[in-house]
Amino acid sequence: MSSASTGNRKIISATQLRLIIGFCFALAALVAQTFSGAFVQELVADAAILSIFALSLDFLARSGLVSFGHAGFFGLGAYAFGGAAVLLELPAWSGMLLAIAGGVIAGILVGSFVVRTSGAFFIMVTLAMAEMFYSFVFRSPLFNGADGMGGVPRLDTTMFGFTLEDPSTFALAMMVLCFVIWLVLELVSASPFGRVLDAIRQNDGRVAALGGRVFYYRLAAFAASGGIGALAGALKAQHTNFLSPDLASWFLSGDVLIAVVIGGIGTLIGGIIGSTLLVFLKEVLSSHVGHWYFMLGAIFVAVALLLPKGIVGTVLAIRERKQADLDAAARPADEDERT
Amino acid sequence: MITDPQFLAEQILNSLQFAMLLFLLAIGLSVIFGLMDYLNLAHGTVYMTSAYLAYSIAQIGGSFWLSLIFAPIAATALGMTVYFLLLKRAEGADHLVQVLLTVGIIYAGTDILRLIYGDLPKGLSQPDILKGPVTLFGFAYPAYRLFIIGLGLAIMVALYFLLERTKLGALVRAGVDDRETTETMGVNIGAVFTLVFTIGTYLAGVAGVVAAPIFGVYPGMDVSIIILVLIVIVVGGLGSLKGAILGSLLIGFADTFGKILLPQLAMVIIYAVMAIVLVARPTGLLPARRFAGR
Repeated sequence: MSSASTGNRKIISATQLRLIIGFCFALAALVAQTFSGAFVQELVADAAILSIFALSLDFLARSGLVSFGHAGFFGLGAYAFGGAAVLLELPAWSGMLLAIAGGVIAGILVGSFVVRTSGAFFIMVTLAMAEMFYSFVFRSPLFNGADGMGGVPRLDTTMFGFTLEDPSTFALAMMVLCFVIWLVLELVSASPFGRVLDAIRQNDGRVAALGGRVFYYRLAAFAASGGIGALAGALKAQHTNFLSPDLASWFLSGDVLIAVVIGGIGTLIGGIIGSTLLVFLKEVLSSHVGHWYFMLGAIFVAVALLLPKGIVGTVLAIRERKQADLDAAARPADEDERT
Repeated sequence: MITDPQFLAEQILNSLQFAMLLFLLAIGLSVIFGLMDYLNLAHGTVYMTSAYLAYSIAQIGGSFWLSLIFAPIAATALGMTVYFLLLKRAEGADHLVQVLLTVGIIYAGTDILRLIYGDLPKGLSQPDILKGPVTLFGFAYPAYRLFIIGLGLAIMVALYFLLERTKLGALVRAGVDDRETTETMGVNIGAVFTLVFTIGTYLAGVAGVVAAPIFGVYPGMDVSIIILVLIVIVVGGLGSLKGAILGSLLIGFADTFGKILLPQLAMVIIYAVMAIVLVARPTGLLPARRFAGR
């Protein structure tokens, strides 16, 4: 579509640019991970898990819905996995499936009324839904309430010849999983389904007028997003071997949203870069600055005011401008030919 | 116990009292959003700041009444400074940018208050004249809680006259319903918005002071109430006084009676109310006209 309308002079497309940024970042992360010490491995795993979570949020944002309660899915996945593995003593693999299925089912149930709203209303409703889950596990005697519950195992991968108990193997596994999910979501975004989501984001009224079933597409995006978010939560519970209500808290919903906004919403790879920055930034601030929440808040304010499109969003906007300049330069020539 | 008329009456009054607090916060947030599409999550930070300022005034020997007069004014002054320095720059920006900005302000504001006051909860004592119970319809009820209900009702009536019977109110309602047209008629919506923002911030400050003797003053008190306030707005509908009143009453009652009937699942009742309202009316019960169609 674009090549026909913009003539033959063309810099790389937005998708190509996103993929290049993604592959470069993956390579850099792989090199950094290989040469990192044991402590940094924990941060790498943290960043990769938050990245998977950010991908789930950003995929939902494709349909024009931005959730401020995504930690509800994260917590649900963690508690489903932990509950299955610790309380029911099921094998970890089935706990994993249970977590993902739980996320999808919760996505369908909750989504069936929340995706009727949009915009800031959706932000408020999702926040409230997640807080409901938070207050449930906070008081639940089954999961030891506010104190949380330990003893959550990691997946048994000895049949594949490696063990996730080793920190650097675990970190690498999380990175690979994050990379695969990113590629899959890029593919889905390029598919007809992803195109419809794009159209819904740009103008849901027009899609509805053309006969598109906006509600079902959004519901599907919400459910898929819930499944991936729950997967991220289940991985987090394995990483720390611990369940706590914090996994479903308002702060985590804020963190992941902020990671996506810092990276650039709607860019997928931006969420990964934002998550990585946020994890390492928090670590650096909390170990060097006394009242580091103030610093973190100040950084959020600065990003909101100075870089509202986020890092990758700003890069893509520069490409957009360059392309527009090229198109503008090409246009008079085209018109001359016609006359 | 729920059938005991005295207990029931007490709980109804408790619900009303909580509803009034929610209302004081919800009305500002709702009209700020209605007028400028501004999602100001830091609204609760004003509430918390005002409560801490009231505590400070009490510490240096001021009475509750001095706190009630000066703490909201000081909190409003701080709030408006932040508004002009930071919030104003994100007017018309994406809601997400506003979320990022206001969450940043919540983090930074909470940390500043923790730096000054520490992490431990503080208390504010009730005014002497309102200490102890009063006898009402043959049973005793805390005078202070009755005072909150009275104050809330008075502010509701005042806001009703301000919004429905004055020129400023007409401009606000017109601005909420159709901002472009109102501007085309020569109204400076920016100035109206600044005024609305000031009043909303002031009311949040008042809520902080009157809530302090009941709930205490602690870091994080802003977030715990703002989530309920957001639900109030979702249930009541955006941008309207009636919506904020109805939403506050529903959530005030749902919260109080939820805690009695199902102590384990108190919050669940509130969310059930919200879910039912959203299925029936996705834009809330009584939104301003502009938000009704979505």
